[in-house]
Amino acid sequence: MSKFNLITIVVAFLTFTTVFNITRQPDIIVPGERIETTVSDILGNDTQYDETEIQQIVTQAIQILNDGQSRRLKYLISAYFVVWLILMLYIFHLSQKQEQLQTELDLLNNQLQPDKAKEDRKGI
Amino acid sequence: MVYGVAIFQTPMIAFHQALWLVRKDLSLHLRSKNVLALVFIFSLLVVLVFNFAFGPTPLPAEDQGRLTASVLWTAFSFAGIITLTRSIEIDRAYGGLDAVRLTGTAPSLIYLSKVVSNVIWLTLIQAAITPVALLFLEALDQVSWLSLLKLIVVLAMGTIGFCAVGVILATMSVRAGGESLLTVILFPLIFPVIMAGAKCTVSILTTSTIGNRFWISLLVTYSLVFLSCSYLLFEFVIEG
Amino acid sequence: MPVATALYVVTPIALFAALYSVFGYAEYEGTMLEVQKIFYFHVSSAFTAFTAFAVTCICSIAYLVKRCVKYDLVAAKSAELGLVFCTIVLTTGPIWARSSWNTWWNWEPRLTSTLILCLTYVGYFILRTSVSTEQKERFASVFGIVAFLNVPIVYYSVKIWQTGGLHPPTTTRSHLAESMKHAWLVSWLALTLIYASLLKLNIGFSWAQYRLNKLQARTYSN
Repeated sequence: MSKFNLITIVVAFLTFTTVFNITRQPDIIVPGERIETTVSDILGNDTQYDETEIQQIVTQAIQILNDGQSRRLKYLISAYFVVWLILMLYIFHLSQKQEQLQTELDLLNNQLQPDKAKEDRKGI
Repeated sequence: MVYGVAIFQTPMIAFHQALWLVRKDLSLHLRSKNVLALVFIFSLLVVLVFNFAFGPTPLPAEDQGRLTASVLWTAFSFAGIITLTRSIEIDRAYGGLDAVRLTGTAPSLIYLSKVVSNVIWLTLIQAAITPVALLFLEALDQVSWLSLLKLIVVLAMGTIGFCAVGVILATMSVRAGGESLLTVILFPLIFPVIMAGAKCTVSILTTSTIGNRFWISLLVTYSLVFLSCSYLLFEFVIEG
Repeated sequence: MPVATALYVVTPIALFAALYSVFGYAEYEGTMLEVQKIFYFHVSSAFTAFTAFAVTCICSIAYLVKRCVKYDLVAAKSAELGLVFCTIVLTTGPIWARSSWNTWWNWEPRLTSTLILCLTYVGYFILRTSVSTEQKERFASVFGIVAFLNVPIVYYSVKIWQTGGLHPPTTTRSHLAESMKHAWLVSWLALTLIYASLLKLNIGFSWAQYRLNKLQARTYSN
């Protein structure tokens, strides 16, 4: 049973990690018209600026920020997975300890009062 | 703790006892010539291995200094571990420690004399090995007598910090794993000593000065902190 | 017992609050963006590990004074948990360094001293396992005290070593926004609570194991 737990933890971790490394989070793509309307909204009706130039700069900035996002998220998620994995393994270690304790208790019980120990086990 | 008070009451007697203990340890060191040979051969092997790795062509001066510092400190750390373990092992094996304790000597006094004797012995060994190592590393010509002296002083100061922790841990580890256990538990604790000592050594070899004063003060602080701490704790290690 | 129950109830709530405040409340950092969110659990783990080792040191002193096995048990289990949190620091650290500075290990003073700390306490457990029973507690306690004294010395020496030793060390800690500070405090609290509840569980098991072993010894010797 305890080995099964360990395998489950490790398999879950590996699955999540591979899934996150294989799949690529699609970049946020803002359509050109949306940028255009937003820029003109911000600038208002006073057309003192060169609108197309501003639009180009904004598009470029968005692109630069988007490019790294998928990569950054992968790092972030793997870091939190590692935290989860280590704590899980520790809890697994604790549960193993508890099981071992149980076995030893059974052995001792058997030694001390064989008849009663059988009844106890039936109760379980 | 009771013994600690007794020392202040009779400082002369305590001093006398310590002197005899140091004498005993040093004569034990002198007699175990196989350990001495072991330490010498080991240090020479370290020098050779490093020299093979860095190739026959001489390095630029600063790199040569760094190489020499790392060789010297690697050799001395392991030489120190061998010496410390053997020194306490011999004491234990023939019941020397028990006999000394039966005389009513304070445990902290035993600790201090052990540190003093090991520092003296290791410094002598280092003073002998350093010129030989410098010779093999082709750094002997660049080092003046004064900087050689400085180098040995720095090594001695490092040895005090090393032995302050080393004696108490070696006393614990001889009962269990010996040298291999001591290596694992001692190294993480003496990183500051190795770091400071190696930095001082590099600056002595390249510029003939001590360099940043922080490293020297670190060596002194480290030695003081661990000497006083182990002085109090040694009692718990050898009881029972 | 009610204290333990309260601990087990509060811990998941605090963990949930920590995750919420990290991902839903704290604002993005200007240059590192999403990756900076590793910071909250990374640094809190380091603080928790440090707390755990401090508990080890205190319990070691208590053991040497009182000679009660339970203190030694707490010291050992606390050191074990400290190692667990050290492992978290040492794995999330490189992940963060790789994503922000494009290097796995940059010898940052805090990370380096955590590594040395980790090695020291691994030594603590090696010492515990290789010494026979009657001396184990005493030796481990002495080592626990000595090891903890070494922590500040290692930290300052690594710091000076890293800055080259020529310039006075400058504080490189970037200024944290209010919301980030709050999120960090909540995650610190959560991790400390996780530490406390795991310690409680582990001490319970170990104490039971210790008593069982005594009982076994008594039974089989008869």
